[in-house]
Amino acid sequence: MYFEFEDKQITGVLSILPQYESVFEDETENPFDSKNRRLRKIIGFGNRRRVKGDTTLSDMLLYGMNHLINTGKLKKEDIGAIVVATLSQDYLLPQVSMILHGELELSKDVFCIDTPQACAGFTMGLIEAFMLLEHIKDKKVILCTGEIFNRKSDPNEPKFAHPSFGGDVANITIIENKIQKRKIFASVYNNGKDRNALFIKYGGFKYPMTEEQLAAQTNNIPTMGVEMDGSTVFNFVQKELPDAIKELMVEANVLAENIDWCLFHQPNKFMLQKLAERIGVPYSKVPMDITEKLGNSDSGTIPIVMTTDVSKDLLEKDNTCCLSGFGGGLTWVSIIMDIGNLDFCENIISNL
Amino acid sequence: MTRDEMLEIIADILEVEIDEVQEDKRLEDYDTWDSVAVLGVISVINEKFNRFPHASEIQKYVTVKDLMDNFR
Repeated sequence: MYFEFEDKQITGVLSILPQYESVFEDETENPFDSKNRRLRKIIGFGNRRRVKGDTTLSDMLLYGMNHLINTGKLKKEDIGAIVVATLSQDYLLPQVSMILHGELELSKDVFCIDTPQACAGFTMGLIEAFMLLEHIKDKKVILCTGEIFNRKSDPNEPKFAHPSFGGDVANITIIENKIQKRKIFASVYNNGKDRNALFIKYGGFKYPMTEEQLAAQTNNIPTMGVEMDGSTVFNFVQKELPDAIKELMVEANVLAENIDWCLFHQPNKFMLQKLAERIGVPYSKVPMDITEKLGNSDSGTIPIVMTTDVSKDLLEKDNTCCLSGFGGGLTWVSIIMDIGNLDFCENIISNL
Repeated sequence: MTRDEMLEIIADILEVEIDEVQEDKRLEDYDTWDSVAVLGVISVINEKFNRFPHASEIQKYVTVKDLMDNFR
């Protein structure tokens, strides 16, 4: 599905990081054996963030919302909608958006919605925000993203036999109606036939969590158990993404060389290098170091790229950006839009 | 793709010298024939031949020659 939007803009991005860091060499059994060394080279294992054992995503988001409100970057009365895109819900019910709504004592006419999205969560959430802005006029949409799959409280980190790369982060992005020179061009594609290529089997109604998993969760050992058919996912990205992005460039009348930043979801470095080559953009325009610095946080990777790697440009000037979120679903959502002169674009480190 | 180009690519994937890549050698005899190598093979086939084979197909290859036969 193809979309065009006018006069809508991202005006601020905040990423909230947990204070604790996991280090690849410390948490992986045999980090220097041949396979782990080779995996590290292509995926880019390094450091990743982790929340405390009792922290939830809503805790992280509330920390960020209070920071924005207390520093005068956001007024409660300006909030028109809260969109939450994550798989790290606190509960099945109430939704994370409703927890934020209640804790922040927001007006009853604020629109709230949670959407259980994985790696395409940020871009899907942006499209939802743009559609909402057609109706809420002078109010702002608050898009909340992030994941806490690396949560654990054991100060003596258990060693993992296999390297893991999930990292915890929460992000708050402000989107509002604002006159823009360029339209926003976006596309959303889905392939439900390959839906099991990224699979979290347990924890829903079909396969309730096993006793072993439940015990592990009680002891705060990571249990999310994402099963991945790696080659299907790799092929999907190499086959579908370049076509979708090139198609969008034609619609937007933008050449690859006119794009300032490609802000892509970051599953691993190798996949992004190959994607950049197929699209025809230099590596220097595709930040790809987030997995290595902070871990893969699904819907959190694109906003954390913005606040970590390109914040100076996003604060100081207008940038033609190509965003693409892709993964679980399988879903791939791409957007070409100008992003710049933001009111804020920063990371804060929480005590969570 | 010439035979020499294929040997160079395979040596790169397996992290060995070119003269260690012999057509009749079994892939499992290389320590580095692992999931990373399989991904490397898929990537080359994507890039050079615009085909998108699943890992299970690549894992069926027994010898270096099987690999070379599919680089086309």
